[in-house]
Amino acid sequence: MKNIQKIIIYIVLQFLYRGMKVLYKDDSRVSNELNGWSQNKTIRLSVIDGPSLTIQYHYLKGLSKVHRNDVDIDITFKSLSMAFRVFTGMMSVKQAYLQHYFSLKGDIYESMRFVRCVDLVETYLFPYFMTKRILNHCEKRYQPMLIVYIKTLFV
Amino acid sequence: MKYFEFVNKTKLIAGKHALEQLNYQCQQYHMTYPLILTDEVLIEVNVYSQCIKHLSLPYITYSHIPVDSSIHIVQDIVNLYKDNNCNGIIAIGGGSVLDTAKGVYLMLSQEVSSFENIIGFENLKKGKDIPFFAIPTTSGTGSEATSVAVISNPDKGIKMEIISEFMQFDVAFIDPKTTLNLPLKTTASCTIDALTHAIEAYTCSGKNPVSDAYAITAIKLIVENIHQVIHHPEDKESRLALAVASYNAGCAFSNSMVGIVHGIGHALGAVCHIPHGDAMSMLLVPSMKFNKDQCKDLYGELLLYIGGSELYARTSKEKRSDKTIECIETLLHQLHIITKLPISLLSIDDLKNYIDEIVEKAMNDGAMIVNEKYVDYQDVIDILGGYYGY
Ligand SMILES: [Fe+2]
Repeated sequence: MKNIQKIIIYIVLQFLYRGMKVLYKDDSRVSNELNGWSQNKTIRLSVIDGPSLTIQYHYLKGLSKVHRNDVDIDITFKSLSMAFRVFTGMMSVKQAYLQHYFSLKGDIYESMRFVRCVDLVETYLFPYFMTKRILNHCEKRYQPMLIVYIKTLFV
Repeated sequence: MKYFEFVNKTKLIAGKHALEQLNYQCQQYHMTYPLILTDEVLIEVNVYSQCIKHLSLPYITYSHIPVDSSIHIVQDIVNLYKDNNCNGIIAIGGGSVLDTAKGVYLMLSQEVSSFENIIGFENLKKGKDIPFFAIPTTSGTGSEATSVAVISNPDKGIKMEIISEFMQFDVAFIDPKTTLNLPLKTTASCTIDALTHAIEAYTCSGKNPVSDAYAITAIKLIVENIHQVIHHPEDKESRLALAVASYNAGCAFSNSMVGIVHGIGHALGAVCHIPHGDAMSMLLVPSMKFNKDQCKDLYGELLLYIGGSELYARTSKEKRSDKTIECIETLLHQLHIITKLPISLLSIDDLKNYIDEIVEKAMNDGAMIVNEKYVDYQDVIDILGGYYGY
C-alpha cells in the first residue's frame, strides 16, 4: 500500500510541476504570481519517507526541475498518507495547512504565491466536482482541461 | 468535529500581586543571571522598575528595542547573552519586545548562527532548555501566549515570520501594575486588537472547540471591562481583566489563526506606518461586513457575548449577525470620541495612492488563506475603497 501511495504521489508531483510549467506560459495568473517574487526561487516539495520534487523558478523565464539541497522554500509533508490525500485531490492546500499536514522552512509570505499557483494548477488537473469540493472557491479555466493535459504530457 | 491541534505550555501567573512571584519563579527555573529585555519608554514610565524591584538576583538589561524590531537587534542581544553567560531571558514589554525576545530565545535554543535558519512554519525541533519569562505591558498583542514571532529584515525590506510551538514562554506574569499607566488611546487600540484576535479566532477556518473557549472568555472580559477602564483608567481590577482577555485572545488565535482583518491590517500597518491596533480598529467592521454572508451564524452567536443576553434574546436569529456588527461599531465610536482612536480608513492621508502596495502585501499574508470566506485581490481593493463602509 505504501509503495502504491509513493508511486501515485510521485506521478502527481510530476503532473503538478509540468502543469505549472505549461500554465506559466498559458495562464497569466500563474506567471503574475511567480514573477511577483522578482528573483529566482527554488521550492522543494517532499514527503517524509516518500518522494520529493525540487522546482527552480527562473525570473521571467519559467520553471525547471533541479536537484539541490539549498532551497528557498522547503515544504515537507509529515506522512505519506497525509501527502497522498493532498496530491490526490481529497484535500486542498488550505485544509492541509489548517490540519498541520506539512512544515515549511523559509519565507511564509513568499510561499503564498506558490500556494495560489498550486490551487490554479489543481483547477486544470482535477475535475470540477473535485476542486469544488476541496476549494472554497473555483477559479476559471482559461483553456480547456484537455489541452492543458496534453501539453503537460509533452512539455 | 474537524481535526485540530492545540498547544499552550505557558504557566500563567495573573493577579494584583503577580510580580511578587518573579524572584521565586526565577529560582524554580534555575535562572540565576537573567538577561532582561525591555524598551526605553518602559524605563521612563517606571514600569521596568516596578518589575525588577522584585528581583534579588544579579541581571543585565538590554533596553534599545524599537517599536519595529529587526534581526540585527536580535543578533546584538544574542551576542550580549552569550558574552555575559546569562542563563535565562525575561521580556518586559509589548509586542515588539516579546517578539524580539522570542527571536533571541529561538536563536539561542536552536543554536543557529543566522536568523534565516529558523524562519518558517512548524519546521523547528525542540531546542535547548533556556528559562524564558514574559511580562506583557500592553494588553493587546497576546504575544505572551502565542507561537508566532515576526521580526523585520531591513536589508531585504521584508518581515520574517516564525510559527513554532517551541518559542512559547515558560511563565507569563500578568499584573495590573504594568498596564495601569497605559495612555487611553493606546489602551483602546490594544483592546480592539485583542477583540479582533478573539473574533477572528472564533470565525476563521482554523477555529476549534478549545480555541473557541479562549476566544469567548476574551470577548466577555473585554466587553465587561473596557468602559470601566476608559472612564476609570486607575481601576486595577478592570485593567487586570483586559490583560487576561488579551492573553486568552492570544491563546485562541495562536491555535486557530486569524483572518482577513489581520491579513489586510499587517499590510496596512507596514505600508502606511500606523499602529497595529489602529489598523484593526479601521478594518474590523468593513471586514466583518465582507465576511458576513459566510460567517453569519458565528457572528450571530457572538451577539450573546458582545451585546449581552437580553439583546441576544430579543433579536431574531436572522438579525443577530447585523446586531453584533452594530454593537462593535457603537463600541468603536465610543472609543473614538473618548480616546481619539482612529476608526476609519479615511483617517489615512492619501490611502488611495497606497492601495496597490497594500493589496499585494495583504494577499501574501498567511492569514488570508485561513479566512473562512475566500478572498481575492478585488475583495481587498473593495474593502480599502470603502465598498463595505468606512
Ligand atoms: Fe493583532
